[in-house]
Amino acid sequence: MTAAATATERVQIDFSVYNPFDPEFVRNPFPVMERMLTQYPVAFHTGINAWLVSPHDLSSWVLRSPQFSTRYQDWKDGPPPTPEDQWTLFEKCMSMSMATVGPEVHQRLRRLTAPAFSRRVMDQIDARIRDSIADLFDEIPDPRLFNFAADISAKVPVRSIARMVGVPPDDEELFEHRLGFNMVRASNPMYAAERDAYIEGALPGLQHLLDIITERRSRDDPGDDFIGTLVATEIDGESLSDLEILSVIVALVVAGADTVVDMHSLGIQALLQHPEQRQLLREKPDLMPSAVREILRWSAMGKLGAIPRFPTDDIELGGQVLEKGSLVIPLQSPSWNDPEKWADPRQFDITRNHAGNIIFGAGPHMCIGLHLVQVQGKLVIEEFERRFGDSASIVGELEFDHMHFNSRRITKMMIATGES
Amino acid sequence: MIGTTSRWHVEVDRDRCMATYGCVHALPRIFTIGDDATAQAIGPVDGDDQLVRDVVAECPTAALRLVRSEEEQTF
Repeated sequence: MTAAATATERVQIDFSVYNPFDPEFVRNPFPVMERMLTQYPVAFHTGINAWLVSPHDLSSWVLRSPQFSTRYQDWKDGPPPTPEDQWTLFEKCMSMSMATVGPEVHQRLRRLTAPAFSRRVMDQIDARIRDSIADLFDEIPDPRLFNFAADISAKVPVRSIARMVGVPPDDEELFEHRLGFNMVRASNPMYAAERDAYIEGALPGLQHLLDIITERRSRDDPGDDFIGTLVATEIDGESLSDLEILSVIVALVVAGADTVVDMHSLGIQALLQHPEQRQLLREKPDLMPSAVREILRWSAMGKLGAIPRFPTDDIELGGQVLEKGSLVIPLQSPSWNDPEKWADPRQFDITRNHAGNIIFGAGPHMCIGLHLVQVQGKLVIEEFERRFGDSASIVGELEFDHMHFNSRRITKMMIATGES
Repeated sequence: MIGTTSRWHVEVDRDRCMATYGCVHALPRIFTIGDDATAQAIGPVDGDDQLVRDVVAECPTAALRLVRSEEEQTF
């Protein structure tokens, strides 16, 4: 085959090349990732019905390019939209979701939510999250031997979001289990078959949050916390509606309740497996933001990508033509471990220069929760070190839920400590 | 010693800035998001600092520009 002929032929793969649900892949994805980077940098996956983009530079370009839409209406194979007269609160929220609205609406939402993400509000939130993480460590049934994945990692993200939003402690059960669990699944294409049941499950939590927002707006002073700031913000004569505020909170839940879970297990694993790096972090706590980024990069927990992209025209990339309206997924983990970008990528190095990284995405849709992720990562490591220090060790092998839709989900990581 | 130092400032394109907090997150001592929900430089900007250059170059919406505003003599 000539080079010219190769360039015009569509490179296709299927689950025999990239199967993110294969137990062997979930245990050790790196051989497959290397194959994707070297043999299939841009390839159409017939099983997933999507273009997969692996190299760092190409993924970074896709994420930043205005030639790609994130609106589901621009997906040629997308499900037909539910008629507006049949919309529940779920569809109303999703219709104004930051991730999938057009660029002008997205800009309006990002700007009007900016004050709620200010240093002042975040400092309040950090203090509340610190308390809730200490509570979770207090709740470990037997600290001498416990499952870190189930007792800490699975609980920290959604509880942190609840504290950020300011959900009263009595409502946390509703927020964490009914709303968090169901929204993550209802909004993910991988769960399309059971979508209606998940929407049904999410509705009471959505209505409850909407009631909280409405009540806040009815007050003379809506308060200076996260919801209060969202209610009170007015810029250039514009402000957010109650439903828009609900959709912002839902976006935080959908994007953050599940995706950050494995960071906590893998962060502790990384530090326990690399005592010299752990010691360095103890000596130089200023390295914490870099350490959290390196944990995310090194751990490669993502199976696919974040917000899908749809080309607004036929676009040439890596010798392939991505058709207008096709589904394009920049694969996170191969990009974060691409040796063309990251020297010796399997080396865990908290002093690494992360300039140009796409760990929190890139472009206008860059992760809105990046501060929340950094704070959670830092607080969990600090609390772990404070309580258990050098007495902690990992016991046995990690266990995974290989069928998890977007992550190499760790279900069991047993930690033994000298705690009595 | 006689030499010159450069003064730098960061220009923010208000139409492009989407308050993603990318710059604030990377360099909180220099950047903040102002009341108009766009980025502002609040600290001294050293245009020769590689980190500053990286953060400006990596603005998610390409709204930041590093500008050498004047040169003055120092003694």
